[in-house]
Amino acid sequence: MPDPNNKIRMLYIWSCTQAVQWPETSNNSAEFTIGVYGESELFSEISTAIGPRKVGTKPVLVKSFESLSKVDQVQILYVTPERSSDIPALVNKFAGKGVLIISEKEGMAKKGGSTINFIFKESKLKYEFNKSNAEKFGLKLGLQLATLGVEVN
Amino acid sequence: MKKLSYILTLLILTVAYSQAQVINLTLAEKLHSEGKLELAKSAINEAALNSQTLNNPRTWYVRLFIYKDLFKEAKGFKERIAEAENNRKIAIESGRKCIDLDTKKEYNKECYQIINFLRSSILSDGYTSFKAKDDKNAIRLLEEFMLITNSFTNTQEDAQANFIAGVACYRSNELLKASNFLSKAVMLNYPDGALYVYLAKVLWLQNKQMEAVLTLEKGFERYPKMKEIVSNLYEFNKELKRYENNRQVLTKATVNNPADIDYWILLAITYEDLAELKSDLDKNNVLDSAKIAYKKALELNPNDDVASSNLGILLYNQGVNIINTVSIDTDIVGIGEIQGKALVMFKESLPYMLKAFELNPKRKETLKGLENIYHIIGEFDKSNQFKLLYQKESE
Repeated sequence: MPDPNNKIRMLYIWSCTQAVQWPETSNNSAEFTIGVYGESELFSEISTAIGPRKVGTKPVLVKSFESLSKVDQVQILYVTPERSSDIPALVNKFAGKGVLIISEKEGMAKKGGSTINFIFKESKLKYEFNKSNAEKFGLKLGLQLATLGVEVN
Repeated sequence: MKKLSYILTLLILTVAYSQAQVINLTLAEKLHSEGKLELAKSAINEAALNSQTLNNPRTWYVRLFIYKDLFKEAKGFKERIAEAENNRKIAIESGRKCIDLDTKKEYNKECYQIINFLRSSILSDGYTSFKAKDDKNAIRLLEEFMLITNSFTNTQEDAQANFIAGVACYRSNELLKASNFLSKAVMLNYPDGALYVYLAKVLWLQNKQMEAVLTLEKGFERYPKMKEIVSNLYEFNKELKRYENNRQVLTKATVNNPADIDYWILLAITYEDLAELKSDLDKNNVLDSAKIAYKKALELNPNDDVASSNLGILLYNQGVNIINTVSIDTDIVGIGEIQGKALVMFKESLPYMLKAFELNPKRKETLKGLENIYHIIGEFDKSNQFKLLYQKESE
């Protein structure tokens, strides 16, 4: 049975496409690319629901990456809990390049980590965010995203 | 003179011979009354072959009695069953012949009585074989019984014979014969709801699914409280995806038997089946009806693990359905609200699931449900515990 929380993850990721401002420099590609690093049913959920849509004028491209070396330029990168140990390397690789890294493991959004980290709070899938990490990637988080999440430093 | 003497001799011989035959009949009656059955049998068989007594109804009347008693005598011995059956057959043939010849109706009444007695004994022997699961013998005897029935009708026994023969044929996988016998029993109004169940099963095996369902529906009309009819009708309708028909049947069944928990559970499952046919948006309304039915079942027995587990899973599914129906364009505030609504369902589900687990820790559906529910609320350690238990039960 598919994990229903993947739908929630997908909805949050779609909301991010509207609520995050990317730097002009990361806007050169013809597509808006969302990557999933690690094996996850979320890839299929995103492909089905977001794949056919557009962000602004750009069609969405959904990619799945199996190894760190294969992860290339994307606008949003979801990193599965099993691949969390690669987050420092990903941060180094994409700093200043307008990549929104979304993780899902406790402590991952602390300084120098991901910008958004999915957490469970009061039995619900929520997210925490780190503004300074966002700035490191050249991203600006929208007001709603920042107001409704849990801020970490 | 010589010629006259010849004629007289011939006359005397003729009278003597004819008297001898009459004597055979009289002798047979005497021997019979003295209990000398074998000698009586020889005498009456001679009388039955002779033209002087052949057309006398009394000959056959006496023969009927003698062979009836021979049958009764042999029937007492297991090793003489075939002989007993043969005697019974001859007795019945004799009785029928007597009735045919008895234009004055002197012997008719008694003949009918004895033939009826003998015919009933065939039915009884058939039933004994049937009970002993000797279906081949049961069918043979009941077919014999039914041949006699053609002339000596007793609807109640005919109906019973057709029912028993039908079930015996069903058990022997002689479906066409089973279908014929059981249909006849329905026609003769055999008063047992099991008849409809067997006929429906036979029709189903003959790939006459709709006829099978209609048969059970007729049975349900006649025996609205018979559980076997309802449960078979439920299974057949479910197989044919006739969920709305099941809803109607089970609603009536719960009205007829409000204290029977099984009907409430089946009704709830039927609502879940119906929900599967609905769009995601309409699903939860139908599932609400299922919820009511499960709660009725739990009122009747709070310790029913199936009702408890199923209700828990239903509530979990309702929560999941709330999430699944949310539009992709929902904003972050909306996502939170949807999660809140779903969480209400998950929290309502959990006590039922835990109760079901307490009542039956090995039920796989419960274990899977608990794995899923703990997973969705982010309690992964507990989810993994139930995952392991589920895997253990699946091995």
